[in-house]
Amino acid sequence: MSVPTSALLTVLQVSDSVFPTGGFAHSLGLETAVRQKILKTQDELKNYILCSLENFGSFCLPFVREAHDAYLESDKLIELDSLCEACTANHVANRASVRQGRSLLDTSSKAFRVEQILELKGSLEYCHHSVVFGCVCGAMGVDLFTTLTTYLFSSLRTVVAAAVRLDQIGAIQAQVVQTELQSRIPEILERHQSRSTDETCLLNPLVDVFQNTHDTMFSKLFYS
Amino acid sequence: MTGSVVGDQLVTNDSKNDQKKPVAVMFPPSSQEPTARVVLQEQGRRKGEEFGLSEAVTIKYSYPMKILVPEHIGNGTCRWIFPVTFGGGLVGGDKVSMEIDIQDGCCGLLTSQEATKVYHCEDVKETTQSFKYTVGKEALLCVLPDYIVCYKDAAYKQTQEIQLCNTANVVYLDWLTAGRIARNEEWQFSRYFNRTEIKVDGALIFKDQVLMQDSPYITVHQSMKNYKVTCTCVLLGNKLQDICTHLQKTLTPKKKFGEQYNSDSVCCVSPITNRCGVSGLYIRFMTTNTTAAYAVISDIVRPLLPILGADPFHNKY
Repeated sequence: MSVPTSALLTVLQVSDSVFPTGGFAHSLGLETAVRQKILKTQDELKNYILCSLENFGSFCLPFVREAHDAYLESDKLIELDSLCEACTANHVANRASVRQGRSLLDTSSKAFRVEQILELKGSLEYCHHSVVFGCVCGAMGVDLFTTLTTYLFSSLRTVVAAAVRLDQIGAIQAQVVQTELQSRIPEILERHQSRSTDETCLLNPLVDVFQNTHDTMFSKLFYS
Repeated sequence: MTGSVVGDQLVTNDSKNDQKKPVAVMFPPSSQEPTARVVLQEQGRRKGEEFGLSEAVTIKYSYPMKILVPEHIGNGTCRWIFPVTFGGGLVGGDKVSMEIDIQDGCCGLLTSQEATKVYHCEDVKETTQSFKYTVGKEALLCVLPDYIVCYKDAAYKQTQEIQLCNTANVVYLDWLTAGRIARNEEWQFSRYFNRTEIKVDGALIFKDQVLMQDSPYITVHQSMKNYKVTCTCVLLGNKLQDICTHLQKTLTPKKKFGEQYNSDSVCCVSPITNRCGVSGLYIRFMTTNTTAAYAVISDIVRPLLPILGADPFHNKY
């Protein structure tokens, strides 16, 4: 399946690390796991990142998908945003999602100047990342499959990059891990792509619990 | 007991002067009716008490569940409700649904006599339990059961819906252990699903949904590492604000310089602030054994003891 060039360029731009959504400030729970010494080997680190990726698949993908499908219906998007808020009681995950979502919305509205995205700015109360991401990609004409794949790729990339900065893995080894784990993205996508937002769930509560203890650390490198 | 009255209001406390005690009656199950239903209603109030004398005005149940609402337990204000399952556990295909209605000004505790065991289900018949709680104005519902343990190859689905009005209060605890640990059975169930929804005047303010199941790349056992108990607790409501403030400070203090984490127990607390006028805490923890889990649970239950009248976990863990 080939992606139209304009959509491909949008996807590359949005998932690029220079697109200022603040992804670099988040380890999505990896920092606490490292600090609490539960990841002693490379395999444990890899499994933890995989668990985190599975959670993105089961929890975030339904929101990305439904927001992508409903990018023209602001009522539906507001509803999705509120549902995501109710589902994200973990305040650290909530903060990470809202911060990145707001930055993504802000940057996209200035960079792309598309009506639907501009409209969204005033209407969404929380701006959860998964909802904004789905909607922005939808409005920019990126197809659903590419949107979902890109979402999982960026989430994985963010955690792997955090592992490098936490000195858990070398820059080249990180790409070996990235390659191995992203080879599982198609299957994860397959498993979760028809999951509705009513069925959104966490597959690995351990990752979520560790992320939630982020604020108890004496010193920290990341924001979540 | 008379089982002849079906689908009728089986239990009454109708006459105001007559001190007739409620009588529980078993009735045959039907697909529409819940397996069990309990309604608590305020029957007067002692002077200076925070909650009224809560009396069960309806107790209905059918196989595979029995409900006990003992008279002499606690302090007389808070009513204790014990669901009892026949044979001490749930087998594949069991579908239990329970409705608990705590009316205005009442105080009710739903607890258990022992852990809820979910046995294996070989023919892919899921075991389901669904609970629906309604809590009225200035009322308090405490759900403090023993843990759930899913044996090897169990498939368990649990849904809980808590309907609050904006002055209602709730303490809700739900915990799960890995299995028969002494037999080296850890996280060997085929599927565990839990959905918890809390609504205030019909608006969804909290939803927690967890599905634990082996994925093609990683088993539940691997993903849970050494942890053998996982627990979720939610406290909401105006009357619990002092307890919430205290728990938030004591359960997860910020680590001091150089202080190490205790890897036997990981606990996290998130505040729930003013969602439809209701505030409280969301607490989750994972531990490597039930004793460590109970240490945290007792911290949560201790400030509630004056309200409950006694400790539902006394001498258990």
